[in-house]
Amino acid sequence: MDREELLETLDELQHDLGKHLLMPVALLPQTASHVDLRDAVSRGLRQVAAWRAFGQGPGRSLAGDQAFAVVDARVAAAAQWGMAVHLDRSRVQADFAAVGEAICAWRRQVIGD
Amino acid sequence: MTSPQSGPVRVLLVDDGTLYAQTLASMAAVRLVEVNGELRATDGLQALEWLERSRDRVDVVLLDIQFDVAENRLLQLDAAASPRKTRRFQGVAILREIRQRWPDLPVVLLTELQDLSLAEAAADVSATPVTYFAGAIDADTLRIRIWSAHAEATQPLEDEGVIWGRDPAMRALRHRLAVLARGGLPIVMEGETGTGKSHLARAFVHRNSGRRGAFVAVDLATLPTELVPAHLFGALRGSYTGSVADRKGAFEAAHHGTLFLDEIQNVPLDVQKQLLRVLQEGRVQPLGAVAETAVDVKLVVAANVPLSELVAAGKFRRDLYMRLSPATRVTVPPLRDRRPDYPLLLRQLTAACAERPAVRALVVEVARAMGLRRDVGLQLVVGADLRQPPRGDALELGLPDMAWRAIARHPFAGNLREMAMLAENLASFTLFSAAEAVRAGVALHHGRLQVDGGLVAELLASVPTTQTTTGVGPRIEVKIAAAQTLSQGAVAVERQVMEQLFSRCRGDLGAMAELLLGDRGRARAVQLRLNQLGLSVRDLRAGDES
Repeated sequence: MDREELLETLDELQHDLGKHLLMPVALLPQTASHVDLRDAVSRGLRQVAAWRAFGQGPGRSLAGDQAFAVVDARVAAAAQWGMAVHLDRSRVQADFAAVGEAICAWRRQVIGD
Repeated sequence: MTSPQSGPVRVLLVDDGTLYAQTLASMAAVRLVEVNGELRATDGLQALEWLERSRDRVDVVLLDIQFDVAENRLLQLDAAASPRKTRRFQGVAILREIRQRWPDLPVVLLTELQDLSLAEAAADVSATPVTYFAGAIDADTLRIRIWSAHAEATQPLEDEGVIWGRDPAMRALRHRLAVLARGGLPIVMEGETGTGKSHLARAFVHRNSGRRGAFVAVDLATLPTELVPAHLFGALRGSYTGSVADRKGAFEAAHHGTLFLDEIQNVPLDVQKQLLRVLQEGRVQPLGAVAETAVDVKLVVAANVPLSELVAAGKFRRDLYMRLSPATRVTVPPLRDRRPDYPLLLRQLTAACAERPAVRALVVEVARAMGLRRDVGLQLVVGADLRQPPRGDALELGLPDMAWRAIARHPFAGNLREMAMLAENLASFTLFSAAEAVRAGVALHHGRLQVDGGLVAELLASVPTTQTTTGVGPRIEVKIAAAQTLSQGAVAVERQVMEQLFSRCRGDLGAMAELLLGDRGRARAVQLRLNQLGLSVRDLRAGDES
């Protein structure tokens, strides 16, 4: 995967994971019920598929890259919430936001910012 | 959250996903407009089609950036962009179309400004007025962004004596100044001479600051350098040569109020250091005094050159610049960047000049002759309004289309100040001719005076340009006599110059124009100037003959 291709892919991952993973939870009202929160977490975590597809496809060659490993670890931490019995909204939100931050950091690294 | 008028803000959501639609549908203060049976437009084409039909049914557009839609539903981003990139930045392409067709329509982008790739794809996006970024994603932020965008777009064209107009940059400036006026930090205003910085500081910042103290303005361009410290910080009697009494400084005079320092770039470097100390400690020490005095002022400083450039050139202290807080810097746009507002501004400036005593007297005289009330205002009529009969509630000045087009093209290098002078000259000359006709027994009853198109051309052409002329003209001696004001003194000098030139040129206005303007064809401009100075060509000729 060349540099331009990687940047485009990271842009898309940022959109899917950085934004759409976090949004369903972030946009919930503070008074949202546990059921609504669980539903939002599930909807957000559907985006994890985009990361898996990347890791098993075009991103396979990058698996040894440090930045890849950071994102992978954060996606894994976020995915844990899909199986959690108790959901702590602020911790969920922080873990989901961390995925987007890691992708942004990777992108900055690629463009040399 | 309600709109500045009433009811919920009407939002057109342009988004290929359903999450925002679901979230916004439950917000009481927002009403999503329906597009083809859904609470969103699913792509740019659908949104633009809907807006073409229903622009007046929406207050704010909420626009996603990435659109995973079929290729034939995508708007082109740029010729070289791949379909993948076009999808990724489809919101940018949609925004560009919206800006072109509806420049005033507020748009909130569902992304963050820090989206690095977005900034790369469209540098113009972040510089587009009435465009906002949703920023950190949460429901409250979204509510605030929508409300702010709508409030800013619906603010009045003129309030508190300031003509904001429709220009998005000015409307954004109003919003920013309203916020900064309330805060404790200094405000740095940058902008060309004549853009109205001083007026903004007095009429808007001070009035919105919530401070009960006085507004004090100091023009540092006209203050002798050696007097700057005493003027700003005060001085005790005898503290410097010629100091015959204790003097309160501008900081003390503006205590609990607003201090406006115009052309701050003229403050000498050593005084800048003192100024920094006052800002840091909130205390002033008048010249010759031992004790310090606490001062609490809202400081507004203005510069007609970017201060950052002066810092780089070593002419302005970096620490003072940082203390003035570049974060609170605002730029007042030049008039040429507000061309859509020219009609509004010229109308308002014409109405305002009718309050000046000399113009008022002419308005009253002509209005009475036309059977209008003597307290009527003066109203400029342009464009399609010229085809309507006069309304009778104001004395109207009709501006011919050709004259208006010339004004619309004019760059107004002197900004609002130049336009105000143009308005006053147009009014004065037109009213003066009408008043003379009235005095000569001509009956007027139409209610509208036509402005002479040639007069407009002459007035616009008489504005000094940056061109320099070479060669030395005739030497003229003038007698200086003390006058009440500098302006009166200057007029007296100019009258002498014009009288002598008239005589030397044997009354040939073309020759005068050649000497004064480098263009023999601008004799009319000379004649206008003579009239402004109260010099009648007939009287001058009579004087020469005698």
